[in-house]
Amino acid sequence: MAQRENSRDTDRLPHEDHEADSENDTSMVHNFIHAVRRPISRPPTTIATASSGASSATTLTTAASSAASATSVDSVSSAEVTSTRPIDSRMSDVEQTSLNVAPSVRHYPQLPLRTAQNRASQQHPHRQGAAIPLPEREDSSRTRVITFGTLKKASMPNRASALSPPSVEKQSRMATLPSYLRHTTFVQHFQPEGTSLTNGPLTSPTDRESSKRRRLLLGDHRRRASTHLLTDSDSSCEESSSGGSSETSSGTNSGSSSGSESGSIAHNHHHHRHHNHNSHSHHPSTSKEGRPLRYLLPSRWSSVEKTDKTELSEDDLQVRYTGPGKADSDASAIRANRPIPPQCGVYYYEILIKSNGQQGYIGIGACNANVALDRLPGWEPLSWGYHGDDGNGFEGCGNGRPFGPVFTTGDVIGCGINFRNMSLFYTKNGIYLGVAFRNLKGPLYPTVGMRTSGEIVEANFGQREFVFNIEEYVKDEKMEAWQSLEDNLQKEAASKNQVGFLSQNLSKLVLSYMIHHGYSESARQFASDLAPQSSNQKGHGTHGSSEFDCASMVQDTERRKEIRKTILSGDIDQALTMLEESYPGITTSNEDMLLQLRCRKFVEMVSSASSPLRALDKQALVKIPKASVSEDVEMQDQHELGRSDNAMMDVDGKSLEINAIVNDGAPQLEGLGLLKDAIHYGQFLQEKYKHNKRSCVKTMLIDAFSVLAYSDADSSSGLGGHLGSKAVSREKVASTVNLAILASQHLPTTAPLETVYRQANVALSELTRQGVGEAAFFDLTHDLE
Amino acid sequence: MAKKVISKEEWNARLAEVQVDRDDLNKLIMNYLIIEGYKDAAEKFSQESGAKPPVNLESIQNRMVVRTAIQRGHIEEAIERVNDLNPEILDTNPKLFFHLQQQRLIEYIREGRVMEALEFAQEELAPRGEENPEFLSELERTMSLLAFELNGPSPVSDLLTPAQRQKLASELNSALLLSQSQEKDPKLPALLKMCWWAQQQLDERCTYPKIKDFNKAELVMEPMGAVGGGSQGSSSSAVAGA
Repeated sequence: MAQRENSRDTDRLPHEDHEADSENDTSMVHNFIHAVRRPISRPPTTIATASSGASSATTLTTAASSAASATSVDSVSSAEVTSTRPIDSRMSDVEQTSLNVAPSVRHYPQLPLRTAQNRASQQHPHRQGAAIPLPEREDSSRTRVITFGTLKKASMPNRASALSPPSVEKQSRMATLPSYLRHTTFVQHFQPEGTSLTNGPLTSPTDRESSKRRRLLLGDHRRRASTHLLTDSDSSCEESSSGGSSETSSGTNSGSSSGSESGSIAHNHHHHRHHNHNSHSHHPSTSKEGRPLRYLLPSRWSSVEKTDKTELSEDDLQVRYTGPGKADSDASAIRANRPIPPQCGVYYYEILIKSNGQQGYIGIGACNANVALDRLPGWEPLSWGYHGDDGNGFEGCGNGRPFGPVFTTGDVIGCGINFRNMSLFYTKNGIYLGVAFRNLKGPLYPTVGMRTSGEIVEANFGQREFVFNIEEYVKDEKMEAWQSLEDNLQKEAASKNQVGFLSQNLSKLVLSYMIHHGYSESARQFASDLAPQSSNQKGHGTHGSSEFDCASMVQDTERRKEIRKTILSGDIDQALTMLEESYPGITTSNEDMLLQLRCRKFVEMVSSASSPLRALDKQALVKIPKASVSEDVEMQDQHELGRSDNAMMDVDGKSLEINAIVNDGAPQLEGLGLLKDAIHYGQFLQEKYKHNKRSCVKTMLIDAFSVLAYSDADSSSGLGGHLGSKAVSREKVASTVNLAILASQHLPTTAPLETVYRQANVALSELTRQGVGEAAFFDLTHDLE
Repeated sequence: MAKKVISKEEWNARLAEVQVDRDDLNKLIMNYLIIEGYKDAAEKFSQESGAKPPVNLESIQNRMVVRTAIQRGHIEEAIERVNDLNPEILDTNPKLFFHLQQQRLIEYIREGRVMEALEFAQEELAPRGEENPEFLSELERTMSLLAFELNGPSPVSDLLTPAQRQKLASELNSALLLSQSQEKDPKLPALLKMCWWAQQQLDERCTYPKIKDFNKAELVMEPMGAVGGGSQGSSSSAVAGA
């Protein structure tokens, strides 16, 4: 009963309920038989039965049996369904009945909730940070729950009360990704409709946790996503602009009824401004081209891209033919609200023939933006359609060729576009009919057309579970994509006449990774595990030498580790000595590194002097007469730089007469001694670099000397962060030194494996950006997990 | 059609934006070490990196012994050990078994035991080659090793490389994994393959800094002239920005 209440609370289903009562379809029995007997054209694996796709055969079987007997254990709701309404073959009923299987599952799509707050938060998409509600990959048993919103409702019990009923009436939007796309990379690029779900259910703790798991790859997209909320519609705008559709931005189209189109456009512009602003302020290094695009899926029929011979239902999913229906010129087609992004790899939607009308001249398929709408799908160039009256496939002309069975009232026709090979396939009542068309050209919109009176169709753009097991199809496609990758790889290997030219790199990548990160024991062990293969190698001298390299590289790793440790402990002198010993000449060839080390040394000296001195009155120091060492030059320097000169001048002044400071007690004495040393060293630095006009040198010196302004050199908060905490600044120096050593050894500054990872990521993203559908099947996050 | 050019600077900026988690890479490494049977290294790596081995490391001991034998060129020993573990593995894998025998032949040739090599080829390998044309051509290719100087350059010198042994070791290893019903999909090769594939696809569409040698993973910008003169103009302007 819970779901019943839900639906009342949220009052979201006027359409559904109304439909169920008014539509009485007697073909259900026939249809169920179809479903139960459904031959499995693509043999499902054993997992498939349990998978979230819950292969519709299973669902329907359950539905059929419970409809027949109504004896299910937990069948209160299903009994209600079966008794109060004649069961038709509509999928919604099928799913309702399937509640027996998973009582908590509700089949209604989760709608984006548009409250005042939400709209307000939409205006600042960039503030939403990591809370972008990307659909998560779930294990198969949960996918369904997420898709159909039960979990969301559970986690947001109060949302329903925040709704104002009129604003939700016209909503049949997809807030979640159709589950079949969860196995593809598209999930990263998918922008749920209603981007304002900041506080929405998808940010529940579980989701946040799982998103954390995926941050390896997604972190990037996710982070940037928050500042590029509307790039998805950018892209669809680009693609569909020729079609003159004003609806491409309907992701931002608020739920208020018909008159809202213009309002939503303005709204959209607002977003664009934000978007631009953000991309500049947050990611100056990322050019416009470099940003990841985010894509929206078609989610309903367009209320513009249609003729006046059809009427749309409230939720824009059902189309009713209202024209005269006499001649071919009375045909009327409609397009979905936006083009299908090829980035999804496979796109699939289903059409329920609610009524065959007089003749059932119904065409289903895909077309480009400019195709005339007073023709049936497939009759025009750049249009492809499968017609119900004769079962023919039409491809850009009025003469079809036999393709599949005819279809009529009660049938569910699925239409899938495979962007791997640009083909279009159909299904009927969950049965795969095969590929109808090849070499499709985009941008493609889902389309249906009708021609005789009384015809009614209803679309499922992924709001509800599909009759066809599309997930299995996607999995198969994914396997095929991998297979073709392997084939290509073999060809490449054959052309290079090299066995496993990729796999032979693996051990080297692993080894260099270990070495790079200083896992020296592992590296040593691994190198020796690899060794036997070359120990009795004859004549391949090159390998022997690379083995030698291994040993020396491991040694190098350990030396770098030691130096790093020393720097982190603050002993810069020791580090400098070690550097010169292990890498002679490195300090002279790396001027900046040396300066950084010296500055650090100075800060360390001041820092160790300052603790015993802290008790001392700082004013006393300032009063000390200035010393004579090249003072003027330095003064001049400081003046030119226009920076805080007091710290500097203090240094200059303190040196010679430091003993004059009144002091009492040993700690201060000791502190003074240290300070004296520090100041001597500071003078040395001043002298040494005074002729160096490079601005970074000056900045580094000023940063270092500014510590004198504070009693507690490193931990002081007054430093405004340019030195940061002691640990952080030591780390910074250590990493500079590490990189300098790596460079001097001609070693890469990033572990090669990491570079491969980054490269794979960026290259796949670029492919996606360029609309390569196949890239959707290669997913670093999922495939490597 | 001028190909799109993505400058090194632009590309590097994108690379830098990819968030890479050390733990996740460590897991990839661990997965590789375990699947490939490097038990000791996996142990050490677990200690040093903190990555937890997903399986009991003892269970990879057997596989490691087999791998080591192959990598040392002790093929007979490896076959014996595999049969000790599970005699069905080789019975049900004619291809794998052929590759093992082929490697034996290679080892004979490598050691200069020509007579034994010939005898072995005729008695053990030729009958299998008759059953399967694919085997036959591989056999012929292997035999042609005899026609060349062992240390000199030859079209079949790849058979003598460590990579050849390593490939066989991996093949045998996956068969063992399969028989032990352990996870057998190594993630690291998948990463390389995806990277390779993405680059290959991208090559057709644009010019960008590319990894040519997966050992070093250095990014190389393709020289423009190689692809087509027409794109010269656009490229120079884009690269100038870098």
